[in-house]
Amino acid sequence: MIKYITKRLILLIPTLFGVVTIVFFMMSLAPGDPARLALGAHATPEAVEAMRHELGLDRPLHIQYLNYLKQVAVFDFGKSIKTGEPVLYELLSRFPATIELSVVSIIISTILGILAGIISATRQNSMIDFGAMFAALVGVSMPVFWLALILIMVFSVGLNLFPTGGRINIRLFMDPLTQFYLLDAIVYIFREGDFSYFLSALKHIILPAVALATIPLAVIARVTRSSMLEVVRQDYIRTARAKGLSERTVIYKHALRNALLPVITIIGIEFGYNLAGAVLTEEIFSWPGIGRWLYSAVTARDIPAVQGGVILIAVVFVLVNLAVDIFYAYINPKIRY
Amino acid sequence: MKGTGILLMTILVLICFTTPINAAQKTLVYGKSQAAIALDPGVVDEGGSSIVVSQIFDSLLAYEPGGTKVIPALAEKYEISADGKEITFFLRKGVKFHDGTDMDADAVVFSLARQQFKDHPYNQYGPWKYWDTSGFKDMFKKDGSLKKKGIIKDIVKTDDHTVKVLLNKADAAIMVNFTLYFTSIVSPTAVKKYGADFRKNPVGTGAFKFVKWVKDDHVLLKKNKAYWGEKAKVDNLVFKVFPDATARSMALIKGEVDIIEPPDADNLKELEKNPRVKIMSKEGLTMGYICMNVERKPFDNKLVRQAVNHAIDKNEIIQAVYGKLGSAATMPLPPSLWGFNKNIAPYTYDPGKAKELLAKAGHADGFEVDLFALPVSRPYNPNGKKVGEIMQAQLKKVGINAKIVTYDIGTYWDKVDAGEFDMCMTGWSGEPDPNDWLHRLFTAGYLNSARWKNDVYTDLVTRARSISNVAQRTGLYEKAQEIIHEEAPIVMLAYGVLTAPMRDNVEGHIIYPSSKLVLRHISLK
Repeated sequence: MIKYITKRLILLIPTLFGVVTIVFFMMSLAPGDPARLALGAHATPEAVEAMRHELGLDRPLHIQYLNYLKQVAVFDFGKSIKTGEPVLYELLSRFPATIELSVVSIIISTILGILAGIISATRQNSMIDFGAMFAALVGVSMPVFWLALILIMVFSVGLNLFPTGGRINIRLFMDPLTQFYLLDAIVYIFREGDFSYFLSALKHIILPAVALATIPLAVIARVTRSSMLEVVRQDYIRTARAKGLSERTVIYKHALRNALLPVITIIGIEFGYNLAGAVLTEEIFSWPGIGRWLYSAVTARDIPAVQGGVILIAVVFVLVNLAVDIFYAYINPKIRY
Repeated sequence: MKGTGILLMTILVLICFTTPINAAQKTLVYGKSQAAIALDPGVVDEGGSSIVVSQIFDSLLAYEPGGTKVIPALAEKYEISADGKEITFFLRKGVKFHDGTDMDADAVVFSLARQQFKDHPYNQYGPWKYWDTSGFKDMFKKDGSLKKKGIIKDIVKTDDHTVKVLLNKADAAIMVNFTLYFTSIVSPTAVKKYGADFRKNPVGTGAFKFVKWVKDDHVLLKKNKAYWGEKAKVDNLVFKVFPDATARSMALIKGEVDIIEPPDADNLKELEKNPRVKIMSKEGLTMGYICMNVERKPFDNKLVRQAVNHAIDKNEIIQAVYGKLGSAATMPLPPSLWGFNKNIAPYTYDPGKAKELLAKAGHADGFEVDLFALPVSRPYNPNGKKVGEIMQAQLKKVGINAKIVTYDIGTYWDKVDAGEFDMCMTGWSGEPDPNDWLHRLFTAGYLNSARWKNDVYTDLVTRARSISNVAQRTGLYEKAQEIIHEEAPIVMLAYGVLTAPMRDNVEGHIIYPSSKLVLRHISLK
């Protein structure tokens, strides 16, 4: 196992090298002058020239590339053009918000998705099955920004159940310790016996998490269903039934355990997508995460920021996949590395 | 299973109906569209940060509340020498920064000199974008030789409460700069303490003190109880970011925020219907216009440019795109500003006249042009694409086929500045001095997007800049407007109207025409 993990970690290096290379050259192909954008629409040409020099944009592309590789090798992603702060600092200060949202959202989509998948599979071709699978199809196809606005209009403005955006009621003036607000709010419960921080943080995360959960939920439901259908046709399920086990035991103990293996892979991948793909959700729910930050970096052509952000997401994506694979091996005795 | 369900339901109900209240202190929450980037007033160049620093810092001068008249702020008064080359600021006594440092001549010299002089120990924490673009300091070529002499020669302390700004040449237009946030006075103690991190730990003399900044989320300020001027009427001020205009409007409807940066015209219409929301508005110092590239055919011909001016129906565009956010424009400076020439009859919408002029110019069969549509929303042009489509239809009526082109905003300005266009949309949000409009936008320089050059005009507006007598300057600017009206290098489109949507319990807000946001006037009922 340790040998396998080591091998996978070493394989990270060529993957990241590829990511860095692709990101670097794609950014240099995109139109627009970053120096110009950094200085604003009405900067003097002299100032733009000086800025280009400062950013090293007046040097040949291959030199810029080699310099960048050297920097990245020591975890120096440069400074953001827009803010003048180190890119790594900017990334790490926003990542907890995104991780928290992604985790809550993947929990929602996993629980509901697996439930929907099981119900559909055990009642194959019934109205419930058709209904659930149709809902899943709608879920996958729904534009997230539209769903997000509808959620706000119905549950926030209309029913007044949830706030429209943000991470916590600003008037509570919470002092976050870890930047994971739900955890921080739990600290407040123990320290001050005050539940209002936790409730506020929870209320704030529900709508964005639901919006972000729709696509993974739909995917997980469909994969669970097809995997379940495959498993229940296996001989060992027939044996289990022949032994006279209750249907419940057959489904939840024998069938589901085996059917979940492909689902776990999907959950890992969807979690990765959530980290990078929460741009619209974060934008509409005013969630100060990495997706929104990356989006504004792209529009501002803040090259160091975009490169650093994409590399970080790639690293996390690969690590999540690695974790899933290890977990997979752990729960599935058939696989041994 | 059943037990879990009930538990879940209970938790859900609890979550939904418990609203925490912290009513002991009055907190004003302002919903804005862009996150702050840096909070050092010298380095700020975008709205997300400037509206925050405007509450924390003061400049030497200010605008009268709701007006464009320059009034004293940290300087009690100022004098300009007879030759116009020496400005003396007499500082207010007894003012302290939020960290307790005295606001005196040393602090003023420090704040300005750090932006002016390359060898100043704190110059490295720039770039000082506005200081540079305002032409305050000398510009050098790559080889180190002098390219352009700056306006400011030196900044010197004469005693503890007097500072002199020495100029290389007389420049009446420089005074407005001392009302702007980039000339704010900063605490030298704090700059020395924080160095590069001063932009995250701002210390000024303003009505609000900095407390906390959660990036991309909010900035928290609290009332400065020792403020030298009109004190804030709320205890805390929060700037909360809502990037999506619809989400921002809904947050106002729900009362999560008290006042917001204006959203687009559609959302404004929705807000108007809400009984708990009121919307203030005032004409601002901003204008949107269309440039015709006079270096390209057929716009090198004055008659063609006049024809286009007659072919555009501004009112249709205002109604369809701007709504309450704009009013039809005539001259290239706002009518509320002194120097505006009221005697010039604007171009009327008259397609017949336009065709006549085109025929006279030898274009009876019309022609084809590219029309650059602004890709971003600006106070002077909320929707460039929509403006483009309406203009396209209007121009078609007189035989001009306009093709709408657009790029990302960076490329857009690159092409406009390089003159690679036939017609383009642009605009300006400027200062309450005609120089900032008539000189800055229509004399040699990269902001002269129409690339129009007229020696008589340039002479008039350059002379006006060197005189400090307002009546004399007005006369020169009025003449200049006659020329630009006749030559018609641009089509004036709209003057932007500033709006401020707020909850009905927000009182006392004042809109400044210069777009400066001052929140200390507000009280919550």
